Amino acid sequence: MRTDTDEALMLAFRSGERDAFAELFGRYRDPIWRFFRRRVLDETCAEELAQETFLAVLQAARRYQPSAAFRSYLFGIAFNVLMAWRRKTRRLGEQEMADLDPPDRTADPDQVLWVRDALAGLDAMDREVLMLREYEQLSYDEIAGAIGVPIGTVRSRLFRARMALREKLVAVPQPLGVEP
Amino acid sequence: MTTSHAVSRDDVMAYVDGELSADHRARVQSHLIGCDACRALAEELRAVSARLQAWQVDRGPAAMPRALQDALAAPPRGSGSRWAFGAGAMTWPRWGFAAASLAAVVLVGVIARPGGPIWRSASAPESQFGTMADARSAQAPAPTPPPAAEPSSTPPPAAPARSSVENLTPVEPARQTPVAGGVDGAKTTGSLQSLTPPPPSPPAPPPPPPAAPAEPLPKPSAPVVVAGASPIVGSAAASVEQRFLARAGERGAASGLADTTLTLAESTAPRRVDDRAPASEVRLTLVAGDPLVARASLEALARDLDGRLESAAASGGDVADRSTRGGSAGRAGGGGGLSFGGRVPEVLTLRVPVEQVETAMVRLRTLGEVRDESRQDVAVQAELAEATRQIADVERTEQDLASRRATADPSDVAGLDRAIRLTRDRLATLRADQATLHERQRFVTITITVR
Repeated sequence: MRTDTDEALMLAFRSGERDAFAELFGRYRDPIWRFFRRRVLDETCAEELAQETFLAVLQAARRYQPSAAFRSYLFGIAFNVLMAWRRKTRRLGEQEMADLDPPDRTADPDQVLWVRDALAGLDAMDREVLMLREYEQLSYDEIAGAIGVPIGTVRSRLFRARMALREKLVAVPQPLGVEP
Repeated sequence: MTTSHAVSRDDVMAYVDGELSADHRARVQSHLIGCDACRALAEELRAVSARLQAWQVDRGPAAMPRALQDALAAPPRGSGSRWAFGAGAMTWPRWGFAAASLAAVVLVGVIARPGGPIWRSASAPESQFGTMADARSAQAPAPTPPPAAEPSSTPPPAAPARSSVENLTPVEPARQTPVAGGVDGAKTTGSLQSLTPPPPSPPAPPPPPPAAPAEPLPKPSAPVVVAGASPIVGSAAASVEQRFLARAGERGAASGLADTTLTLAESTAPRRVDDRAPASEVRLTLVAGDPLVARASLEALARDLDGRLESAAASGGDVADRSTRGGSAGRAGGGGGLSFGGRVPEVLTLRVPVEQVETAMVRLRTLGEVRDESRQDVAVQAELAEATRQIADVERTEQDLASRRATADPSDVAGLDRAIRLTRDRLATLRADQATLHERQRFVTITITVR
């Protein structure tokens, strides 16, 4: 396994080291998969969008400039792939949660449904910022870079989203035995 | 978002997220000790995050998709540099990426999945949530990237040979401009990132080739997460890619990562700083005939003495860096001078090297009448010792994780990799904190109220 930073790997790949891209793929295969899996109903579609994201990284490698964290760059591409796909499918603000099985069958399905129902009730941009923070674990800077908004916007939207969820948390008691 | 408290509620959030600089974090931490409401808010924020972690997602396919493998291995056209991967490998000219990308897109279109085409129709299963496209278009003017074109669609006329996938490359991410010594120039990873990780995944598909024997971890040449950040400034460019290229041109040749590396190297290079030295602070009021002229003179003074002048009109952690420093640009707007947004700031902070403080005071007295001067030394030795101790601890953790990874079960590798990345993030932040404290020892902070 290479221990280079992500940015160094991209530069190495730009210089022609194919195994550098393979290393990056190995590191981010699951995070990118999970990014799409939480946002796209169909598993096959999520897989294709993840593939498209890595293809875009591969194809843009010759123009890559390490001006910020690679994660911000990568999730920015993933975000654009997602937006392009949503425009293509022409959905307008509707959520379909009722007939959806939780992706992880080992988790408490009630908890999962609570989370997804709560997220579905958020403003779209607030939700995206929140998910990038909570699930992709991007920093405020990385979120700002990935979705192209000022860092102040990231803070305000993140705060608003969490406050909205806090209200729901109060309304729905934590199940017994589950620590908050 | 402020309350009657000394810190704002979103500062409490940033504190919980570990997104505050050392100074700011200390202020919030001090406030939390005495404020029940803010402590309760912090706990509520942690509770929300904990509940959200209930939604875990299984791991995806382990192997690199065939289309990606083919794109990676696509034969180049013409001569060029060799792959570093294996002797006698194919040559891969840089320009060949364009040809390979077109081939890859065509290949993706040809490889049809059982049961349907790759590209989804409008009736295909949709997003889990409402589309954000309308939400984004309702925001402040944002350019609309070209839609993801299907392989058979007409490519954009401006770039007929390029894949539509290339148009999905993002704007140049936020330039990570570190501000060593700045109020919020360094960040720390906080407790939120140490929340319980996702539950163990089910057994992975065939494991990858065994890892090489453990080697001492090289110190990364640049931090994975860079201290400091620049907010993205909106652009009127028509496409995502145009915005990307426009910003690359605006920033010139210097890359943010290189700048960051240089700045961190400067701030963490061995300096003849006595760790026992306090941080010296001076406060005074400057009564000037013309405040605008006085401020311009203060900027010149900062440059002359290799110091820095900052606006102290801070509202918390997200204040834009309006510093001017010996030719380096401030963050907001990329300009080299102070931007007061049309309103004259009341308080300025001048930082000068310790050895220049008397020279600075002499020059200040030429700018107007100096009143209410006071000096004090702030002990930072304990903070510095703590930062040094934490760095040593985290470095040991990093080494331990690397050792464990060398002999880890394949199903544990991804988790260890993630832990290693988080550890390195934490190290970078701690080192930046240490550099900040060293700078406070090296530079005297002169708080000037201009009247």
